[in-house]
Amino acid sequence: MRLFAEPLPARLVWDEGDLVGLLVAGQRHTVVETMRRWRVEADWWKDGVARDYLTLRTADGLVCDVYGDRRTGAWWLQRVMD
Amino acid sequence: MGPAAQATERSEAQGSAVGSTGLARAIARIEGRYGTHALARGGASERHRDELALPTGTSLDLVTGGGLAAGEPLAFVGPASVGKLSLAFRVVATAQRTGGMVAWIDPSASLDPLAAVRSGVDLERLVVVRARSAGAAALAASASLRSEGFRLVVVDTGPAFAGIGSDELAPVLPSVRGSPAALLVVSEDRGRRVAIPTCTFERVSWERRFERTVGWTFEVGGPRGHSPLDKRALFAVPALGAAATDLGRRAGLAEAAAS
Amino acid sequence: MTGPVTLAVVARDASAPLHEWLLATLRGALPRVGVLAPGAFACDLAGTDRLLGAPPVVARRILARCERADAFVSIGIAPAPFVARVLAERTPPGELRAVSDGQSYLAPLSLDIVPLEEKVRDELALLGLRTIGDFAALPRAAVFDRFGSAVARAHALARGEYGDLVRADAPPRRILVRRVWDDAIVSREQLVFALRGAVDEVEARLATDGLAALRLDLRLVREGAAPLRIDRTILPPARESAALLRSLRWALEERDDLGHVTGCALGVVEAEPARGRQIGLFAPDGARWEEAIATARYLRAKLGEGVVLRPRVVDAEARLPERATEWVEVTR
Repeated sequence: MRLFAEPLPARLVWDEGDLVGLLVAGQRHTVVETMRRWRVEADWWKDGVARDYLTLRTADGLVCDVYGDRRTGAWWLQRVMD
Repeated sequence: MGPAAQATERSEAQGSAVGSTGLARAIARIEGRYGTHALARGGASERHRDELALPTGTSLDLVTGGGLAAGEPLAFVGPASVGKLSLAFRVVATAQRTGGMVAWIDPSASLDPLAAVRSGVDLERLVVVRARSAGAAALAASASLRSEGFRLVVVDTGPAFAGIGSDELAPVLPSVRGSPAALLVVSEDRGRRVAIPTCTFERVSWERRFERTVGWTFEVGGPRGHSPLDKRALFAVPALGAAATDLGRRAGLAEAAAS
Repeated sequence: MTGPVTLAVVARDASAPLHEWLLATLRGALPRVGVLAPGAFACDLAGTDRLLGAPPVVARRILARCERADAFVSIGIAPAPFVARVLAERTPPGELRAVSDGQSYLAPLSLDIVPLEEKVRDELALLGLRTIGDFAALPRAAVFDRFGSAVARAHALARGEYGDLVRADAPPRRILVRRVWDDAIVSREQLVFALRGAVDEVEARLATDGLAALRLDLRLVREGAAPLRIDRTILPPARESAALLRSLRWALEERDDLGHVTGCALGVVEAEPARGRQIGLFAPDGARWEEAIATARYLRAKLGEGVVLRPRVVDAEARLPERATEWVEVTR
């Protein structure tokens, strides 16, 4: 498992409500399955952290965790299984 | 322990496998001769350098010829998310088991300490170098190999989209020979200019449960010429984030039946 | 038993408070404790022989501790966790059993015990395989090819196997402190007071070596009587003199007549690394460790700050992955 000290900016590609693609570092990966999804909220008494996590499996065999920052709307690639 | 309990334990311990066919027994004997446990006891080790080798006690040792050796390089090559890091951590844990220190060169700054601990790594004996450029990574690896302070130096070149190329490690190789450390390179690509004995990792299958992928199995093949049997070691990742478990040697049934 | 060893502790019908108490007690005494189910725990004892004693000794200590708290647990000791658990579940409360050959132990037992899907179990039954031994005798590759990896893993369990790594702990250095008193000590209070100095010295030695005491041995030399030997297990392991002295005081209070004490020898029989950061003073490769740190410092000078680091787990359950660990500069 890899945990990036600095998560990489990512973009998700949707098609009629289905997640079909993941863009990271200029490369597009076809998403084959959303394996898990969960939400994390922390530090609610401060500004707070709110993230939606997804574990994705791509056609080229990549299994990774991305999260969407609910406050900024940005997506980040944080973990890659290996 | 009371005498009654002792007697019960003794009689249960004497129970042996029942209902085996002759073929199954023959196959079990072969597995016993070449399987993981024989190697872990050093019975079938193909190398005669017990103190300098790093046997993990898993089927990986069959493929690496008894474990990584001091003063020699080895590469784990395979696609992203196949399981290279899980086994690399095992090798780290092995090097640390007898008190050795390990240097982990991490240009993509993606080492996950929790995953490492789950695979047996001792964080107290790990030095992580987040050398971001290829030049810095090569410097760090060479210095670690030459220092005599480490038992193992790992260079994790990183995922294809965020790392360095294997070829960029060419300057490191002269420092390997004669070092008390083994060098392990983990990479997604083999490299064209750098020739290091390579163990190839390949996914075998995804593990599905209730229409959801929960894990996978992968196999590791050895460098040609280093593993006379040229058999592949099989591992399973039973759940996301779990350490790889050893499934043993993936021998063809035909081969076993022919013996 | 050399090699991997697991000690499984099972408390039948454990209430939530009992489960919590057992977990805290086991974690306080043993380096690696995992929860299998409510009231069921697996403790990896690999490599702890020299620190904690042979596994049956550790088990008996745990049984005694639980008994003192009115908890009757069953303990199984085996090379693999699955075998240890099965063994513990078949052991009466308050007792321990050990097997060294997991596969032989499991062989005659019913296949119902092994985690398998119903339809796999049915298929195996159709093939005439009903015991764990029948299943274990199948060639591993054939099981994998026919049933897939999940069943191959169950097959490994049936063979008493456990794939994970053994980790060895550093050995303790012998700690022994002596005192001689010109005037014989006759009262318990006086003796406890007199022992303070010796206990303080033990604490200092433990601190130097980064250890916590797990077992103390106190030998009291007496006038006109045989020496009195007191063996105390300290759970959780501690090095603070207050904790050690308290334990010794309780031991002395259990004895009616201490006699005339003229000297003592206080030794730490078993110790383990104190929780928290440890400098590897007992690492067999101590000299290499210094070399490694020197190299780290060199690389820090060349590559800058924030590059040569050592991770430390601060919160393994952190929901934000980046908060599970902190990274510190390697300076020593």
